[in-house]
Amino acid sequence: MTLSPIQSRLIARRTLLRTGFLAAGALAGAPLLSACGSDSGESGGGTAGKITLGTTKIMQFDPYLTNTDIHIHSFYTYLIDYPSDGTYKPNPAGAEKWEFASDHKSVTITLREAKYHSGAPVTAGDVVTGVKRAQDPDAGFTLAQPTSFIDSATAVDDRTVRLNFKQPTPEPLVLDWMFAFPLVTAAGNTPAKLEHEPAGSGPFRLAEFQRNQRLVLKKNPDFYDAGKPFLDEVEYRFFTDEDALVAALESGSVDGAAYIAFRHADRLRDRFSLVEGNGRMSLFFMNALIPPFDNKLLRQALARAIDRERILKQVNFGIGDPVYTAFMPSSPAFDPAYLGSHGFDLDAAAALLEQSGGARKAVAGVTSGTPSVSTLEIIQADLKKIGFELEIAPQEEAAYLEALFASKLQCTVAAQPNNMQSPSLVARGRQMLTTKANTTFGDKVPPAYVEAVDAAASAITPEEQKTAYAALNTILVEEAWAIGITTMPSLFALDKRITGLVTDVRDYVNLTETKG
Amino acid sequence: MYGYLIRRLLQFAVVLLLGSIAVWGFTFALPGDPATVLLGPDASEAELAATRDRLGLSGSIVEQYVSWIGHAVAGDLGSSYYSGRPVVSELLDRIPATVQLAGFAMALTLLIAVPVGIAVALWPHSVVGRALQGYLTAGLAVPAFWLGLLLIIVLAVQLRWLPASSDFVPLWRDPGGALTATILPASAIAVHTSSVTARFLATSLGEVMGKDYIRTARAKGVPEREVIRRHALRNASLPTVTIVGLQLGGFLGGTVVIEAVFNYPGLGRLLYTAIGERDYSLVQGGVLFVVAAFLLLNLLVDVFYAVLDPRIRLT
Repeated sequence: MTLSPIQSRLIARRTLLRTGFLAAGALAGAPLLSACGSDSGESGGGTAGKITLGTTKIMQFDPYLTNTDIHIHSFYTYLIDYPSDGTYKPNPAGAEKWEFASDHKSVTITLREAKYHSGAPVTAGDVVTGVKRAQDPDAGFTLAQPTSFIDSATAVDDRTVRLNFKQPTPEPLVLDWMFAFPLVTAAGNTPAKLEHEPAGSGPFRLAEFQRNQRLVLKKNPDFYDAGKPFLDEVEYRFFTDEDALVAALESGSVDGAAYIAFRHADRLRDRFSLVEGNGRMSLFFMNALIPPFDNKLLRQALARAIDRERILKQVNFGIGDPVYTAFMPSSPAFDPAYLGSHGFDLDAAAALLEQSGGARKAVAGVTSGTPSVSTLEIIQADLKKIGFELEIAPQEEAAYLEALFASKLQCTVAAQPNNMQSPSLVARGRQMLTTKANTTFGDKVPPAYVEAVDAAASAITPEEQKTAYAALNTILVEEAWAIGITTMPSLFALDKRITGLVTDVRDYVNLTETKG
Repeated sequence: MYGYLIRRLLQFAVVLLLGSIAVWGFTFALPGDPATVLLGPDASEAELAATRDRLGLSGSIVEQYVSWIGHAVAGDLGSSYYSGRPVVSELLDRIPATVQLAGFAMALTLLIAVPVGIAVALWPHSVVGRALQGYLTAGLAVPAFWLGLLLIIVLAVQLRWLPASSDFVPLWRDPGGALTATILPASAIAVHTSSVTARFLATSLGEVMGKDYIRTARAKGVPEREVIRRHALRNASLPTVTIVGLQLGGFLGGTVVIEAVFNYPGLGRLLYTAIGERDYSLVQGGVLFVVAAFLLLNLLVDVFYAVLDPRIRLT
């Protein structure tokens, strides 16, 4: 199915129609139901330390998995925290202090005296168990690649743990790992146990969970940071439809709407506080295992046909920043020069396309109903100008993920997480792995890329780091399979009484200092 | 009568079996992997495989179906892949909400359709009759979800009289709260269904009013109100009962979009989410319930025929 830009304009037309009928609806509908009119009594709270947030996200309780952004920080304490402003100054959290060995080959971490929600104390043994799980690629999921620098973890005493590294390792990489490492009871740290119930020591405890209906959190009175969290209770309500979620916000049924689309921003700005989280990046991925994208020149050609400014304006409604490779502007590897030297240039794209001699047709898979579809429509229109026909094939999310993981998509637009202050973390995603599990290259991952990732993961001095990050950027640009488009900040619309809701640099919601 | 009921119940079993096979086949034909949805995009292949094993998804489609139907016959519909709860419990949580919404919607449908249908049949050329015919045309033309959005924008967002998202408030616990929570989705459904029902009623009532026995009743001096109530309406209601039965069956499983628009925690939304997440057990159990309810309502409609028209014998 090929979508045209006209189709996306139809949505605006529907909105106009809907708005245009407001007056008629008021005249016809209001008398009909006026007898039922009353204060719904469903203001959602916002008083007495309770807030109600609406979300469309699926949830589970395993911090080693993804799709947990909105609530996982409430249940778990991580070893350290970073400020929510996107910078990387480490603040003690689960770890009270830490000391790096002078040879950069180990770190000794002293845990804060704290209790899990179960009442059990946090111990060094829990960290050792957690590291072992993270080191197992079959059980560690998101933490497996970031943990790969650790050789062993040893409990020195009940509250002290020592991590030995495989090689001298830069402090930023270790700190990023500590920031992402959750404290979980050793007994409960399995995927099966964490699927339905959290086992952490975070600011909130689980009070009630009805899947796809509601999740209620209660303040953890034993949280290490005395006096926090400020809220007594947080209720998440699940919505299957984002428009229903925004309507619920506007009618006062919920106090806040989490992770909403940019298109709502202008309309909600005056009446609600809009909070932009740190977000992720959208990237255009081309699968080197499937023609025509096995042709490097052709990939480079398409990389020059991405109009980031237009995408920012029309898809992101002005929210976010352009990126070229998979590094956020806060990353030490972010190099804005590429946006100039390798930015949108259809003439250059046409010349490279001609030079590549590749086929001029491809299909882009994408999850239907997401901003990625609109992004692809813009790319599609520009590619058409240079004689490349891009068909867009929106799919339901489950079908899309299956095709993506099976490396069956020719190309797509997908989100990538923030790689924080460790550019080597770029190799976390399936399309970016340095192993044969890489879904873009299979067993033909460019050796220069593998070397560049390894170099970035072992660069200790600022000079070494600068060189390594530049080399990483060079190979990413040269191979041109993962083209950065824009950052995608998360967007929250909140009742103006709510303050202090932030996301951390991974874009996970942090409610520790939220007031309602 | 009893023989008829037993035959129909046996037909139920066959239809349910065929329906379950069809749903199983269609569900598995959909691309997408429950394990991927459950574990997220970063799960490893090994863990995905382990999860598929745990969910019982490793065997062939036929093996899985035979295993499922074997348990289903014993009353065990399996467990939801995601919540881990028995499918029966998941359904029992949502069925009251759906039944309540269906009840409200049907009550509103009849409250609107009966007087409107009668008025249109009796005074088709009057100003009121023409205005009501306009309502019927508009009611048929306007999709329920669109009307739902309109009601939300006007009554919830602009006027803030009613909530935009509807929780399930049991009628027996808080009748006022239940009415407040359900009136918007019920209205969005009822405007369309009342138009259909009223049209059927008006057409059949118009036909009946021209029958000889109506003329006879009038000639005997029976008051017009009684002519309509006892002679015309009763005879004209047979096709209307059919359509009401079908609509009620549709409400039980077919209000998916309305439940999504109003975020109403009913069976439709449960099934919609389950299909998106490829929660096969839940989809199968939910569809079986909807099919069974639909068949049962049809049976009740047949029985009601006999009550309305003594000439009809169920044999």
